[in-house]
Amino acid sequence: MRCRWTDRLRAAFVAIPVVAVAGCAMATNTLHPGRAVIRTAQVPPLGQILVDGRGRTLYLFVADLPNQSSCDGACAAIWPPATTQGPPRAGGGAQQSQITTIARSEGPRQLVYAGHPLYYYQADTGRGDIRGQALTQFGAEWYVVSPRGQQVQDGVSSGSLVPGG
Amino acid sequence: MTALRHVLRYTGVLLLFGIGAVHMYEYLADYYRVIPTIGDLFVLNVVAAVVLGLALASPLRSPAGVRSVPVLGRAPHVLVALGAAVFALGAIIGLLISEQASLFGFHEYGYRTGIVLALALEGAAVVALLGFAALELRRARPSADGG
Repeated sequence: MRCRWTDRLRAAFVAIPVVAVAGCAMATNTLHPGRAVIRTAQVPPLGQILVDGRGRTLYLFVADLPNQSSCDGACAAIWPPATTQGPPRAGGGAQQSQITTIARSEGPRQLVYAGHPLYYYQADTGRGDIRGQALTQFGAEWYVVSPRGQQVQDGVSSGSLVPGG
Repeated sequence: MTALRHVLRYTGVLLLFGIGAVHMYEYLADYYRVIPTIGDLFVLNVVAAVVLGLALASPLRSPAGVRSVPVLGRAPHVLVALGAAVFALGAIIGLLISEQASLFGFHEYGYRTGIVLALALEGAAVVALLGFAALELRRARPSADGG
């Protein structure tokens, strides 16, 4: 009997890391992102928007100051910063000249496009998901980003480019 | 010894309610409800914490199936306390995995106040519940004269 319980306990300890590793396949993985790529994708009804190398939607936070993230703690858990290890690259319609990075208090550097720090949204689980679009959370709105670095509202880019971005 | 047993028991109850409250706050106020799988697990956590806390606080009588088990059958609260300790330990393990790597695709970001509070409540619950279970088992163990 004791042996059976020991086996179950051992199985549980094996299963937990397996589940964790399996989860990594879908994770935003902001701590070990590798060298990031920012691309564009056509996502109806919004049109061309910025996505990462795996096609995952990138967002800007209206409360952020230029080249400065104001999303930390619980905010960063729900809206994980898009990060990079090494110089990020542009692909598709994204402009290399608009891409920079900023340091964060924890983890790798965060991607910035036209002065806007970029984020993922936890509820997005696949390519083309835009569940975070136009949501108001943690005190301000979140929008997908156009290739020109503007927030996209209902398929229309708005707002001026951030100076110095 | 009886007083200490009661203190540990009701401290465990309060800590379980505290664990449930922290998870409910994060689910509602910090938008954890939007996270696939993790949001559902937070609801389960709140329900489990409340049910276990109420069971531990209630004057539980030995159910028929449990009554026949030696020692434990005389102290059904031990089973609840052990189950609650495993529950709290599981919550700690899940949180630490999400901090270090990812759990069901979710990565927790940093040790903010809410996270530290959750770890403290869960750690204290494990200690209090295991302490209570140990004292309750000692009380329930038949004495040499057949008591």
